[in-house]
Amino acid sequence: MRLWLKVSLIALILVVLATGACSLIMLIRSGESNLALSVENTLTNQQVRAASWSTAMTSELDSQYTDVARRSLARYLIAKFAQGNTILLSGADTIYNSTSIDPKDYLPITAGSQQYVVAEINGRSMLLAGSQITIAKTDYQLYAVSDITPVYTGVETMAYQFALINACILALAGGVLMLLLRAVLRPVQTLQKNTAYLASGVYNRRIEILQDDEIGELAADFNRMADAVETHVRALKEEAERRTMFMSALTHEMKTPITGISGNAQTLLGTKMTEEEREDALIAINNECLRMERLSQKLMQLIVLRQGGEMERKPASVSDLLENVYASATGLIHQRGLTLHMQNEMGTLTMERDLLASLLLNLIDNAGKASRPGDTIEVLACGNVISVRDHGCGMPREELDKITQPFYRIDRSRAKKAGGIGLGLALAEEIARLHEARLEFESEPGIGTTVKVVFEYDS
Amino acid sequence: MARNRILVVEDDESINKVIVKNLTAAGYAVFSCLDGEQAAKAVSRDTDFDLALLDVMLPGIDGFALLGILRHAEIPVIFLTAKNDVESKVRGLREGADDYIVKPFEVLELLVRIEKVLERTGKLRQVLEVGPLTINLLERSVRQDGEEIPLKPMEFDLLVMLAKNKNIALSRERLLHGVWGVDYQGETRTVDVHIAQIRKKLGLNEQIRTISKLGYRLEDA
Repeated sequence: MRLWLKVSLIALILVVLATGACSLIMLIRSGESNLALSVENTLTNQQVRAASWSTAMTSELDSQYTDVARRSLARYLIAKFAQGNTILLSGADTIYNSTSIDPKDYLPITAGSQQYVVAEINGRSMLLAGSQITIAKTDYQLYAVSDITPVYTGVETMAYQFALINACILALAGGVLMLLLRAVLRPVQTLQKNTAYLASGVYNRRIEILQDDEIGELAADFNRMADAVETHVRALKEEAERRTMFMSALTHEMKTPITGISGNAQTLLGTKMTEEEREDALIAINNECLRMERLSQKLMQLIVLRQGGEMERKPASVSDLLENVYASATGLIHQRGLTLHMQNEMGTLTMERDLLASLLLNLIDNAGKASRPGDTIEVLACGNVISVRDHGCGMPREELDKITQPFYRIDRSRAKKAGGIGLGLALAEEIARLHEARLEFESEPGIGTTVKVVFEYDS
Repeated sequence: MARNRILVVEDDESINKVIVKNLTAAGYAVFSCLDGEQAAKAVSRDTDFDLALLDVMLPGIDGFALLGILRHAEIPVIFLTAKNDVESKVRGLREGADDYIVKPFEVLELLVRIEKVLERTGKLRQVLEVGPLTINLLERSVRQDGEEIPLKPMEFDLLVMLAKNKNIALSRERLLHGVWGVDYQGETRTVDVHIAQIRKKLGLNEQIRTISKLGYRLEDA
């Protein structure tokens, strides 16, 4: 059962009970008071009649009157005072009776005091009030009879009216209550719907918060939860995508050397070749194998870096680092006929020295590949930035976003001739990430490239 | 009839060499390019190629861009791709490539696909020349130094298969499947017997070489 219905029903039952009880009490009270009023009226009437009649009887009566004359007088006088239903008895003798009731059946009177009874006679509620009056040693019983059925039917009518009014109140209250509750609980329904969406994998729906109450707070919390879920799911999805892309790039990357090896091997096996050609094919196979070896080494490095590992970073002097790098790069620089210029304005930096050195060497190597013999490569450490600048061929702007992707090479065949695997910048980026640094590239075709390692530490 | 001319566009030097070596050995005239620009230049000078082998991932002008140029010059194209996904295959075929071959590929498969595309586009040479032999596929005749030599149908088919892959070794199983069909239940000895017949009839003891552990190879000279 829906919550709004449940609450409405409980509330309605309470309303029914309350109004019912009130109505009942009121009915009983009013019935009682009406009855009391009727009884009192009748009693008063009877009393008044008894008094009037006995006074007249006493003053008119003569001791010489015979029984018959006395009875006639009594009858005459009672007829005079009787208004409506009056009965006068004297023992078994009915002197006067304007009704069809024999009161002795219902209210036999023996003592002098006033008595009354309510009796069901011919389907009507009759009130009989009577008293015994003794005049000249004769006992008379005077009754007043009144029909009090209207008191009961009045109560009944009133009960019907109350029931009707109660029903109306109930219907009205019920309707209003349900509408109100539904309106109040609608946000809960919205909340429920959105939870269902979230559960089924739709993460981008949010609840519009209209209320400043608990439900509103719940909705706000729900939105926060949905935000968190969406963010995490997106991160997971991106990570999964990145991995898939990496795997497909890797597979693709493996295929080229494998094709070279297998093609050369097949040719060696089956195709007629000169001795020189055979040697060429073997050299090609060897080269491809070396290339795959390099690829697997770099891959291992990348995997280790990506897992984060336990990397111990220590504060170390940047000038020492640059000296190291200079020493390692010398061979490469001279081979290409280049000049390496270094300038340091940084003090110490928290670093893993070997990794950071390998990052810088990588960047210098790239700069060297882009440069022409005679060019200068400048390394500048200043503020929180170490930059490597060359004056080589540069890169088009649209390539800059892609160059850190694993296996991305702007010119594949040239890169291959230079021994490139396509993982250099991907590795550099991972090393930078482990140092809470980021790589920034500025490049202009024909003018040169600057790569900045920007450290985001608090200095 | 002149040899079929094939344009090879492959940026990996080692793979390029392998392709050129085998196609040349099999009797094709090969023009090889290492990048898209070179290929585009070659086609702008000379559109008389019977087929192009085209790598998809090329520096400069990439394979798909080059495809348009080659289609324009009405040169059939076989894609060489390292991507084994349906998407790039479909894209290649939809944009007008005649076939594709996925790296790493088998040299013999490459030769078969080239032959099939040439056959389909009606550019396949109908006369094969191997040393002193002239094989006419239309006439189903073999001439040695101008003199016709009668061969039985199976002997002829076997000789044609060897000639189409000349200078490249073919295994007995491959020859058996290629000539007698995949459903043939016979043994590889059948091949040996027929080879012996051809050698005898044509005096090709030297040219049809037995390659140990592999099979036979028909050589030019």
